[in-house]
Formats: sequence, structure tokens, C-alpha cells
Amino acid sequence: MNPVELKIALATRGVRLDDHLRALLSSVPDFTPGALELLLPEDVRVRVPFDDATSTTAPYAVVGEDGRTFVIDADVLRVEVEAGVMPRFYGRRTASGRPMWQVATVEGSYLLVSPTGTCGFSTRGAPCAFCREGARPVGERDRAASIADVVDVVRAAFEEGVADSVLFNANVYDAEDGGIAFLTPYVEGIRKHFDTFVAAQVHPPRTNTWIDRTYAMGVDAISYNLELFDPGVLDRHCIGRARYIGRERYLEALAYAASVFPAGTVWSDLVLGLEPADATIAGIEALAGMGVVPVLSVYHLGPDMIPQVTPDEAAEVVGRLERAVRERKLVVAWIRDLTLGITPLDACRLTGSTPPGSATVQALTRWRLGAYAARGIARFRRRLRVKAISDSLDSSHL
Amino acid sequence: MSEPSPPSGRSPYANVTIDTRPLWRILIERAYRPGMLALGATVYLAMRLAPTPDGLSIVGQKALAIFLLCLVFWVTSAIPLVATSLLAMVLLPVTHVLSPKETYALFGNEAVFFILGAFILAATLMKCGLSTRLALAILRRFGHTPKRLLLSLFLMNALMSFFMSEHGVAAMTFPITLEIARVLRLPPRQSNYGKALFIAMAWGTQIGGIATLLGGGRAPLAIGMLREASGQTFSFLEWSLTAWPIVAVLLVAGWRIILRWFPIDIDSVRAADQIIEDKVLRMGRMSVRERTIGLIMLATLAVWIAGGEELGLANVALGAVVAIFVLKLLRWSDIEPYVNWGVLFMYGGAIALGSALNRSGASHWIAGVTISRWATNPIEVIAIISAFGIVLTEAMSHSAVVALLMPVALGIATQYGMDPRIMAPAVALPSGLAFTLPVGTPGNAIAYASGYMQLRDMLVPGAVLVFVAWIAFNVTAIYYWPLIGLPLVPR
Repeated sequence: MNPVELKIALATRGVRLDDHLRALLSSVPDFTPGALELLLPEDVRVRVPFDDATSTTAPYAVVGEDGRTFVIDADVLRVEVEAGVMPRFYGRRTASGRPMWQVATVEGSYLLVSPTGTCGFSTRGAPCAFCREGARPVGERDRAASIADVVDVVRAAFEEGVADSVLFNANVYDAEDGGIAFLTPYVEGIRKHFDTFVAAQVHPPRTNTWIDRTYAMGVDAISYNLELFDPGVLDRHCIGRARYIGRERYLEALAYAASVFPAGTVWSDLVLGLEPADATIAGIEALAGMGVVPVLSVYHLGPDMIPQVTPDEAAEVVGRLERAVRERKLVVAWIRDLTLGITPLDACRLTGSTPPGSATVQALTRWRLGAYAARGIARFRRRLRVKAISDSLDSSHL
Repeated sequence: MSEPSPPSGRSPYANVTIDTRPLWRILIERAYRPGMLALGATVYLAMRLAPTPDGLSIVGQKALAIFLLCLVFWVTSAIPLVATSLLAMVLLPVTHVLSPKETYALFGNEAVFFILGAFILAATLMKCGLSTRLALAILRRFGHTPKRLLLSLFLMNALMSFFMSEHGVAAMTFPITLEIARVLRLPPRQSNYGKALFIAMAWGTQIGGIATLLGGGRAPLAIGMLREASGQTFSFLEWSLTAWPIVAVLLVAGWRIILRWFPIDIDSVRAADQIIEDKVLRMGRMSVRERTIGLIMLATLAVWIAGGEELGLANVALGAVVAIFVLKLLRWSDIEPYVNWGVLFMYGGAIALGSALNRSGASHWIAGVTISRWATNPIEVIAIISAFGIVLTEAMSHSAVVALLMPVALGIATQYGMDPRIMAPAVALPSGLAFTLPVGTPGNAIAYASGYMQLRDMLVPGAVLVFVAWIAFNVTAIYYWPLIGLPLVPR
């Protein structure tokens, strides 16, 4: 089985774990991860959900044998994988006493920082209350981690070497700015203390000026996740997104962000399996057409849920994803290692093609010197592009 | 369920915009400044290291090198105008063109203190609200039909620029103009009347700004440089007498051009009347403080006109400033934000550099190798200098144009046996007439920034007015100035 096919299968269906792996994952006090990160062949990462339901019904199992880990099924499947090691910093606390795993978790090569909670299928594998009902968590700001907490955790993760970039995601939503104003002091804090790439997943702001500000404050990559392209399905499954923001605003904001942020750093998730395959394919074409990198997020089906797409249709959608980014010559190498998402890079692995520009970007970011250069280029680009309005007035000798 | 509330507080990134042009274009633009810095340094070194030209002393060559360096920086704005002037003040003593004592003594020129006094008096008017009250009174009294409101706005801006910096007037009347445009529901970029309102604001301030010594720093700067070079000067009244025909012609021509290019496309300004009425109501009665400041202003104006020559323009201005503080009408902190201190440094440096060019004979030499080769008589000299001034000021700061042209003009006057006094208005008046580009003057920039105009709305009618201005200026210089004792060639 192709590793990307396996990724989809594992992410949607979940796995059963043997006792040894369960014990490993329970090593951090009070921390009960709902998913296990696996590194599949060809560097494909996946976060596989496991809970009480999947522990009995999942068709796949992850087992340890002689220090090696395998994914197996009841039939002939037997693929050697690497199980993600629980980072040591999960067991530590910030200076204020907050457990670090509450502030950030490692997802692939990045650190997912969520000062409150997360929002979006791609980080939760399921809809949050805002998506589901349009409800906002009560008192989320009061419970939010402080900037010092976030800095503590990022420092710990970087020192441990388990992540090299930061992805912010918050379930705080404000109609005007989409939630980025809430994240601003955190982004500034990270920028002040670390030389790293910063990405953010928020909702689209009401006006494009907030998108300008998002780039100006130091966010290198941005995601406004539409999740579902079919308007009717969006209305049903993502009530908050449809009611407060609207599908058209998502598309407008994404198109504008693609003109502001560097090529290949604006992405949007489309959930695979919640809407008909044709709708997802139309979404892929629409996003790619405006320079936005489409990512298919994999929805964890419950035991009694029936997917809207068959495995063949899923493969076709992934194939269309690969074709769309290739035809539009999108830079796809920045958006990678999304453990619950099928990135265009994953799609290329499935079809066996080489994505344009990926070698250069990967060479830049994989080695320390290259990563340093890439960050320098990002900073330089920002210095060139961001203009204070007072500069414009100065130039007219006001 | 209610919609989530917006965040409180103001984003620190509220004033940013993203330049989405191709990066190579931005890079070229960003390379401009270091390129110009390098160009200035190269020009300076080339002039210093070149063999001394015939007719130019070694000190003159050094002064010329500094002048060329400043020329590059003033024209290209590679560094702020103020910093360029400060650079000149540093280089003059370092290269032994002038002694440090001479250099810094020139900074204490009367013109600099006159400008300081004028700034503070204008700041007083704005801070106490008297200028706004005057503007509203004019609009309320005369502006009841679209045409009369437009004319009132045009003339009100001009009139106020007789007594205050034109930039300050534009900044003050812009919110009123914008509010009128909004309350009349004029669609931005489409409404002729909207365009006409902002053009009237921009042109009115500029035309009024050349009428007296108070409209901007150009005239005092030119007079300061004239005084350093020749010991001659202009009184307050003499300057206004010199300028008034041009002002009158431009007010008429400007009004006709506005009406022709932007035919009035609304029938009523009743909504604007209401807004103006509301503003007047909000201001209430004129306070004792405002009345006292108004009296001081009128008295200052009277003394400038009647006794400015004997008492000194700067002395009168500073005396009025002292009176304001003695009477506790304002606090020093009230006027500080309104005074452009940098401009004072800019003028001081420009006067020092101009004086150095004159004393070293460099200005004479420049005149000999430039305009003297193209002009055969004083009329042509005036035509060329005014054309230079009027073109350069479209892209450069008005004061930088004066700083650039005045030393050369004084050198030319000597060569052609012309009265050096004539060079002050010949340089300062055209350099205040930038009607075509937003970057020409803050008034234009503010009008353009309103969003009601497109570039071509300013460009084409502005070019026509610039041409009219150049003709009017030359006709005035040739036929009118001799009548008031300012002949091109002394009898």
C-alpha cells in the first residue's frame, strides 16, 4: 500500500495499540494523547487517532516487536513505521506552573501552539464547537496561556530539538480580525525571542487590512480553513464559519492573502470525506486558481459513520490535488508535515511526480545553514514589502 | 446567539500596508537611496579631486563640491532635507570654506527667527481654534449654493494662507472639506464637485501662500540668502506688492480652470450648510483668549506692514510671541507639536551654504557656466530661472528649490548687472507654484489622499495653471515690477 493511501486509511479509521505503546503514551502525568504520530515510509507523517471506540473497531493495529514498530491489519498488511516519541518537555511545567503539553504539542516538524484551544479539522481531526454550532468557548481568554508560558514552551521544544517552527492555532474568534488580534502578542513574543518560521491558522478577518497586519507582525504562512467547498454542506457542518464569516469571505481573504504572503505559504484545508468528491475537487481547483495551496484534511470517522467518498474517489481527489498544483506551478514545499492533512507533497508521493520548486525549498530548510538563509530571505522580503503609511506621507514631504 | 464582539484596543500594525508589486521593482526602488548616497559622494569627490576650473578659486571649488553634494541630496531626497542642510553646515568648516564661527553665525540669520516666529504665531491660531472659526465663518456667510461654497472654500484657503503657512492651512481645512464632501454624498473619484472641492483647497492654499512672507518659508529663506549676499532685503509690504498681481491672476485663472474642468454636478449644498452650522454651534462664542490672540495677530500684521523695515520682521514676530506667553494665552507645550523645528535647521544650513558660495565666488562661476550660456538678456534670465523653479518644485520641496537656485541666481544677477533683489521673488515665487503632482506640496498630497481625485484630475488642469502662472510671473516681472521700483536692470 502506498504510504499516502495508508495515511488516509489510518487517519480516518484509527488504530488499535498494544499495551507497550499505550504505556509509552501514558508516561506524562495527566496527559492523555488521543492520537499517535507515526512516520510512515517516504517520510509521510500521520497522526492516528485511538480511543475507546477505535481500540476495538479499528481495522489496523500498531504493534511493537523487538524494538521495531509495525502497522498491521487482519490480512497481509505489515508496514514498518516509526512511532513518534513523546517529547520530554510534555512532562515539564512553565514558570507559572502550567503543564507544557497544555500550551503546545509537536505535530510533525512544527510546534502547534494553542494558547486557548484549537479550531479546525486539521488540528483536532474533528470539528470544534465554533465549527459545529457557531458557539465560542466561554471564558477562553481568561484561561489562555500567558505569553511567558508560550515562550517557555517554545524554548523547551527548540532546545529539545523536536520542532523547528511554530504554528499558532486558537479557538478565539473575533468578527473583525478573525482571531489574529488575540494572537498578536504571542506572535510578537515568539518573534522577539526566537529566529523561526511562524505560521498561523485563524479565521479570515472582515477586512483585508488585517491580512496586511498579519504579515507585517511576522507571520510567515497563513491558513484560513474553508473546510468544505459545497455551500450547503458548509452550512450544515460548519455553522460558525458559514454564519459569521461566509464562504465568499473565505475565498476573498485567501485570494488577497496569496497576493501578500510569499508564494506557497497560504493554504486552506478541505475536509476529505464530509462532502461529495466533486465538491472537494471544485474547491481544489478554485483554491489553486487563486494561488492558495489546497490541503485535504482527513476526517476521523466514528465507528458508525459512513464516509461520503469511496476509497477510489478519495484517490481521485488526491490525484486532482497533485494535478492542480502542478498545472498552476504552485510552490508546495512550504506546507508539509501536516499530520492530519494530505498536502500537495503527499499527493505527489501518491502519484510519483516531482512537485515544482520543492527541491530548492527543502534544501533551504532541511539544513541549518539553509534554514537560516530561508529565514533571512523571509525577513528581507517582509522589510521590502511592509510599508508604514507614515513612510508614504514622508515621501511626499508632508 | 450574538455575533462575536470585536477586539478592544488598537493594533500596533494599524498603519501598515503591503507593497504587492514584483519584488524586483521594490528592490530597484529600495536601491535608489543607497544609489543616490553613492552618487552624491561620487560627485563630491569628483569635484574635489578635479583640477580647479578657470575662474574658480580653490575655496570656491570646495564650496561648489559641497553644493553639488547637497544638490544631489536635495533633488533626490536621499536623506531628509534637514539632514542635508546639517551636512552642509558640518562640511563648510571641516573643509575650511568658512570658519566654524562664521558658519554657525549664519544659522542665526534673521530669516530663521522670522520663520520661527511665524510658525509659533500660526500654531497659536490653530491651537486656540481661531483659524477654524475664521474658516467656518467664511463658509457659513458665503457658501449657500454649490458654486458659492466652492468659491468660498477656494478664497478662504487663499486668504488664510496669507497669514499662515499654506501647509498648515491645508491640514486645517482638509477635515472640513472632507466632511462637506461626505455629507453631500459625493462619490469618490466620480463626483466633479468632490474633485473641485479638493483642488480648490490645494490650489487656494498655494496661491495664497505666495502672497505674503507668512505663507511659507520660501520667501524668508530667499530674503535671508539675499541679505547675506548683498545686504539688501524686502519689507513685508514690498514683498506682498511684488507678488499680488500673480496672486490675482492665479486666483481668477484657477477658479476658471476649476469650473471648466470640473463642471458642478450637484444642485444643492443644504446638507453642508447644516454641518457647517453644527460646527459653528459647537464652537460657541468667541472666548476672551481667542479675541486677545486675534488682536495680537492684527497688531502684529499692522506693525509688519507699517514698521517692519525699521523694527525688523523677526523682531516683530518674536515680540508677538513673547506677548502671547506674557499674557498666558498659551503654554509652550501647546505650540511645540505645531512647530516644524527641522525646517529651521534646514533654512539655517541653506543660508550658510548660499553665503559660502557667494563669498567664495562659486555662485558667480556656476552662473557663468550655466544660465549665462543660454540667456542673452535679463528677461531671458528671469524666464529661465522661473521656469527652473516652477518645474523643479513639482518634484522637490519648495524650500530645497530656493536653496538650490538662489545662490546661482545671485551669481547671475552680478554677471548681468541686474538688481540682486529681483532674484528673491524670481526664485521664491515660482518655487511655490506646484499645481500638478501630489508630491509637489503637502496641500496637493492631502487633496490626492482624500480619495476623491485621480492623478489625471490634478495633472492636466494643474499643467494648464502652471503654464498660466509662468506667463503671469514673467509679464509681472517685466512690466509691473519696474513700476514699484524693482527694475530688472537698475537705472
